[in-house]
Amino acid sequence: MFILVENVSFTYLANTPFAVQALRGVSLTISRGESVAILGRTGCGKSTLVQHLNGLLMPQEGRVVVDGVDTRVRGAALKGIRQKVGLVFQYPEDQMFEETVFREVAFAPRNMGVEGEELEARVRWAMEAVGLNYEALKDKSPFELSGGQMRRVAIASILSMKPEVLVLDEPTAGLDPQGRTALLERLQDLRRQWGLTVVLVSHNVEDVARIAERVVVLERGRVVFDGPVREFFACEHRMRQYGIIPSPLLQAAFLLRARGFEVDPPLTPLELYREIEEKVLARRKPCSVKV
Amino acid sequence: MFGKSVVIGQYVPLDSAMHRLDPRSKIFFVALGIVTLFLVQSWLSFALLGGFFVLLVLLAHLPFQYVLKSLRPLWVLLALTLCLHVFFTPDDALVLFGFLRVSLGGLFKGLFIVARLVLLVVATTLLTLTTSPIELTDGIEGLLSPLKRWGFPAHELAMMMTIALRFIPTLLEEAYRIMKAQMARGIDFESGGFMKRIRGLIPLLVPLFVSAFRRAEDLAVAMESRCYRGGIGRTRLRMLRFERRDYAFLSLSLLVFVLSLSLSWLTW
Repeated sequence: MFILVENVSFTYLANTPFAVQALRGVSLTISRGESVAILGRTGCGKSTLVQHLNGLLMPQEGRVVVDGVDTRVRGAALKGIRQKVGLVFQYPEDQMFEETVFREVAFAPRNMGVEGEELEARVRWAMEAVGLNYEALKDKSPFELSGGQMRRVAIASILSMKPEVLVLDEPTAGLDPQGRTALLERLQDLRRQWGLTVVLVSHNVEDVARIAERVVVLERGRVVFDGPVREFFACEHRMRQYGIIPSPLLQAAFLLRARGFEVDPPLTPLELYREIEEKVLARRKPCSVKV
Repeated sequence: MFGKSVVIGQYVPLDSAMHRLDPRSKIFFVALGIVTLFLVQSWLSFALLGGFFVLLVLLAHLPFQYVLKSLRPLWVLLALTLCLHVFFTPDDALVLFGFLRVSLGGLFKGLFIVARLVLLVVATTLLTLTTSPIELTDGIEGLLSPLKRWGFPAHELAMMMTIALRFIPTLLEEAYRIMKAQMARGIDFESGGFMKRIRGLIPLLVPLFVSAFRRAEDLAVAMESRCYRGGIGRTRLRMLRFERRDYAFLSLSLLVFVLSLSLSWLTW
């Protein structure tokens, strides 16, 4: 296992009248090459948990171990953890400050001590990995790009650290449908081509269905579900109980099930079509009505 | 998460006689109180004023530790004032510690000034603890609006203050978020030399300014689209009105202030 979260509790502003307990005894492991989605309603502790994975927040109880190193270290070891676990915040384009896209993407590896040709190679790789044209964009100001491009530059600026795990907090929030589809495809490629471990925080079921194989659901700071994505999508009642609204695709499958067809929860429109073809249309006589 | 807890000013939202007063009468009270505190010269007057302030704190249902907490940042100043007076008053020396002379007159003088400072802080704290920032700016606008006749932008000033106060927690939260995002990119805000730390601020300040400008623009558009055109002809949700309790409070304050002034002149 690569990341071990063991019995972690965290309270914001502990010992003040404003104390808010965000995590209550969370345990979870993430292995290399996995793609995990963390789901849950607003305020369930998703963002707090994610910030524990790279040592931005330290557990007040329990421990977090990344690649054999407890996150409660200082100095170079902590930088090492932050390099291995790349964290992309929500609306990551808000953190951009450099004059050119190149410098923006190069910022993180420079902080890690990467220089010269290696630096250039990494920036090129990171930009191309998220589908940006290196030559055309590297000297542009990041502030004159489109929203979708800015988002990708921001993700590239984390990828350039060559992390082993990429953690993304709501990566598609505020993007137009094209930008969203393109970004999700890139993330899938990153996993397939480079073996990157992906942890996705979302409350968008469609995004989760496209990317994740495993789902972890948080509810009031506790892990209430941890299992394969299909298992989670199989039960409409449970999804709604945790405040997660099924995608239209899943809703269609649930409707068919309510009518007595044993349709498995689909992840893509094609899967739903196959299920319908196999389990619904096959049981009926060919349509007698002329279309 | 972090920003939500940042309390601006020290306002303690309670429901008390002091809280319900018109902010203008509280501002009046503080202004008159400050003048009185600087004019009076006798311990008896201080005792009277101190007793009056304690009464007001009780009326405001404020725990005394809140009032004392506001004195905390002043400890150094108070101690320094006292020491300077004790050691550097060219007076009959009470005790001699090498080159240090402890003077009795200086001790008295020092304690006197410390008492004055403490009472000053207590008076202003009474205002800030019982008046929300919005009420405070409303009150300031109300007091300054007679100057509008001579072109003084009272409403605009109050609006600027309100907006500034409103956005402090927002910007703090933003700063905290950006700081974490840059820490995730390997920047270290806590170590390194002076220059390195200064340079480390650029990745924090540039995004913060970008977002502050964007917010300002959004706010301007939002205000314009609701036809905001400054203070002319604008009505308010909460009208400031002097009630009977305000007259009573101001009369009582005036009485105490005048009494302490006359006490001071009589005994001096």
